[in-house]
Amino acid sequence: MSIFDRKSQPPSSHQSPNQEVLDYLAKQEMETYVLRLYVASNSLRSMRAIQRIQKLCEERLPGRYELEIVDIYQDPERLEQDQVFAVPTLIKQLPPPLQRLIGDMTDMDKLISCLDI
Amino acid sequence: MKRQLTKCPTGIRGLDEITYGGLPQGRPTLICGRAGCGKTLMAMEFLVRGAEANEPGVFISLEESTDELAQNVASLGWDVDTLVAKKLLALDYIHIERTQIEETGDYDLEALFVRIGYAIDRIQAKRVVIDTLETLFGNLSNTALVRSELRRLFLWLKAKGVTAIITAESGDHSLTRHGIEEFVSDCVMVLDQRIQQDLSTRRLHIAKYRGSQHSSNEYPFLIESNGIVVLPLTSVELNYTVSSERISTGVKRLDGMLGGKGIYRGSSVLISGTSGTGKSSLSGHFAAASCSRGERCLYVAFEESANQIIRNMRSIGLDLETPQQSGLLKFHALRPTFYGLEMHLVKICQLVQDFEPKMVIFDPISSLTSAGLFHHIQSFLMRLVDFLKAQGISIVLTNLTTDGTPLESTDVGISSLMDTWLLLRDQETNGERNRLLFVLKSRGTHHSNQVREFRMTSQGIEMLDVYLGPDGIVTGTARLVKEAQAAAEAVARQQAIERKQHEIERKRLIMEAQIHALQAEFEAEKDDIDRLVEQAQQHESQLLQEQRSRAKYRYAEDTLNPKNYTS
Repeated sequence: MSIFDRKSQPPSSHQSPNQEVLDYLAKQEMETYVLRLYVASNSLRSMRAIQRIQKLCEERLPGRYELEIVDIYQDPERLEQDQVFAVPTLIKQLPPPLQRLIGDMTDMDKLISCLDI
Repeated sequence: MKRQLTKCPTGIRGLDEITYGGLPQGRPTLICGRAGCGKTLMAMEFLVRGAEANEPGVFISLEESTDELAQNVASLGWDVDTLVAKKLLALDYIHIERTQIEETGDYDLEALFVRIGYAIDRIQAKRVVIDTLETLFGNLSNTALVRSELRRLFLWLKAKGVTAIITAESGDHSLTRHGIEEFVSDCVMVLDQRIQQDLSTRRLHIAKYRGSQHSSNEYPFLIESNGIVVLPLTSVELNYTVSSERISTGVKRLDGMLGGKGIYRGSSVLISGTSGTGKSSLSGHFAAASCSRGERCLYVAFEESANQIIRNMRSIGLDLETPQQSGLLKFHALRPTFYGLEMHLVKICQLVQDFEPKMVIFDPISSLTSAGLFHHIQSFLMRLVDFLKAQGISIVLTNLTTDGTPLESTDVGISSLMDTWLLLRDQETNGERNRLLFVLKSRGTHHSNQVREFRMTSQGIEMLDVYLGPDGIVTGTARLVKEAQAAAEAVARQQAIERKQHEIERKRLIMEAQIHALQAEFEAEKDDIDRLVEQAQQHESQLLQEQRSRAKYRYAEDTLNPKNYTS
């Protein structure tokens, strides 16, 4: 679902513009996040990244996120499709736009602002 | 046993020669150079040639997508898709785009390794190309991390045992922009594209090759229609076999000047002279002579078209059209500036390999000065001459000597390479220019030291003896005048002799007549005297008889000698 799809559903006429914006934001907040984290088995960086992402998602996106953890050694054929070259790599598949974050997620502020959560 | 570095032949023409066998087997090689100098192509050819030799290869592209890559090399006749289908080649495009990546802490490039490793394992690759590492530096902000990861990458590739080529952009003051060469201890090649006198030439040199001898020269290379050709500067060693067979120059008296038999097969002949001295005409004779022996001849013309040469040669009675039609003579006419020198060399070498001529004529080499610098032309000609001589092909080069330069020199400095040097000269006297030829040198043959005058007649070149008078060499009509004078003088001398002979004959006749006269006179006098003597004797005897009769008469016997009475 894209932003344009959402706009194609006009809000009911009795609602004020302010209400409209709030609704939009509320709706967006309710969206499910589809995340994929590529890690290199149990390397220190990877473990750290997994912990941080899981913690962040539990705090900010309780119940509306899907986090898949992919071990690059186990599924090397998936790397090409997601254009992964570094580990750890976090792919935000949904909501759009698709985003690629690399690193062990120590820069939490950047992580939050990038994921927009 | 001595452990020697095993080498992996690249299959790129010329490259294996200058690396003495190829790249270090199982080790990474760095190719660096500026954009557009042929790094990607060289790396790709390494894989394509490997695939042809049944060595699968992986191309990891960090710059171009696999489709772009396949398209770019399709023009060189490399069918990447088929090779991929046959599992002899794998292409992997690793797309790294700064705008799509956020860095949120420490990371490593392990996934890149896994991807490369996966691609290698999938087709059992022996060769790997990573093109180009600049992308990593360009798109990742943590340069220190990238550097340490690259160090790891090189070690990892070595551990994998694949022969790898990694490309990188060259920096301003260092081999590569990010000092990657520090990590590569085995082999570093530098590609370069330079423009000199509006003509660009790509060059290659090996900056480092651990554990192997290598030539440190810069070698020109070309991107040809079917791949890269590296041209070894002097790939041919001076150990070619020589022929002692002699071949005619096409001008009988010129053969005579060259020890009576012409030039050696497979030798080089330089014809130099100022403009209009008949260099092309003379080389036309060489061509015609070669064709008349049934041997193919390649005529490389830098200034005239094939048709023009044929027409001009017809005017001096040389038919080059028939051999051209029968395929014995081939013209390769184009402007020297059409390509760089290296391209010319490759084209000529290819033509020679396809056409297999016994003689190659270059007319004139002096016009190459517009296509390169002095030492480039010199090395070009040196390689050309070596290449042709190595195959026993006779070479005829013409060189235009410009006015003001010494005749015994060439603008391109190759006279010392030549086996035979014919110098054409014109001499201006009495308002006419006449052509002279002499053999400046001819290695290994006894040759004439005389200057000959030569004329271009409708039956070809005709050599004449020059008239050597008391005032020096006389040519042309002056020679005719001198000859006529000499002839007249000779006649006069002959007449003088005849006159003298007549005179002496006459004198002899006179003398003989005088002798006759004297004899007659003598005879006459003798008759007179005889007659007188007779008379005197008769008179004497009469007197005696008278005396006797008188004595008888007197009887006076005693007073007389009795003997006087007997008669």
